[in-house]
Amino acid sequence: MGGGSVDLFPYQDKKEEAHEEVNVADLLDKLCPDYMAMGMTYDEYWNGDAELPRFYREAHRLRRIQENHNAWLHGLYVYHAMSSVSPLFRDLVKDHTAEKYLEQPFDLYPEPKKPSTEQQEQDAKDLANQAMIKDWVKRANRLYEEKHSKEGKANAG
Amino acid sequence: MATIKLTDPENNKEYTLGFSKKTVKEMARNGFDISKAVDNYVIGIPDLFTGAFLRYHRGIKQNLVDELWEMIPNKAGLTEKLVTMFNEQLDELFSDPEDDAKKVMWEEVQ
Repeated sequence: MGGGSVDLFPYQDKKEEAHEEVNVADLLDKLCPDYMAMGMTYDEYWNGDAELPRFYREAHRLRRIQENHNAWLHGLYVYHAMSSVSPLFRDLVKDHTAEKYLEQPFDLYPEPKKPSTEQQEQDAKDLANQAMIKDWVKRANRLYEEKHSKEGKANAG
Repeated sequence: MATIKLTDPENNKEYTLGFSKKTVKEMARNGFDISKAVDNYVIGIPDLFTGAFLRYHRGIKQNLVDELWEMIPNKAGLTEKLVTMFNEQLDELFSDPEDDAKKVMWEEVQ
């Protein structure tokens, strides 16, 4: 394990000494508190399924990612708060009024937008109106043509 | 959890063999070394067999364990399984999450 990381596995820091005799009992004793720090109980460690440590390590990794994300989110909220009050601390600005802070927390799980039923009804109405207007224009054109043809015949007669 | 079931043909009594970190530690404290045991088939492997009783049959007498060991027909197969089960207790403490992309695949060809 690298020098900069948290010492969760102190034994692994001694990789260079791996060629030396390893006392299994001491190794198990050393790792017990590390796994207990990850949430494993004493009984789970000593008497539980052999696969358990792997899952605890993976859960621990995911927890660290989550904690890191939370820290980032806190930073973002602080950033917004500082930005909101920053006008109060500007000497050259006339208006020393703080801006409003976020009215709601960030939406972490936004739902996909669905077309509203109101919009769908309006679209259907528009389509019906367009069809009606087209029909009306057709009928007006037909009547106009009929009228002109009658007038033409009368003039010729 | 991997275990092995033994049945005594004389009285049909069943025994469960297995390891936990606790019994692995206990065996190590008593001087058992798996790498040396594999090399020393005569003494080491019966010790491994005895240790496999610690988890579920702690109070079992040594002479009964020895008798059972003598009656086992496929000792090599059982030994292989016991070594795997013993090592599993330690391997899982260090194993990386499974990543198929990094695995070397092998297959037997005729």
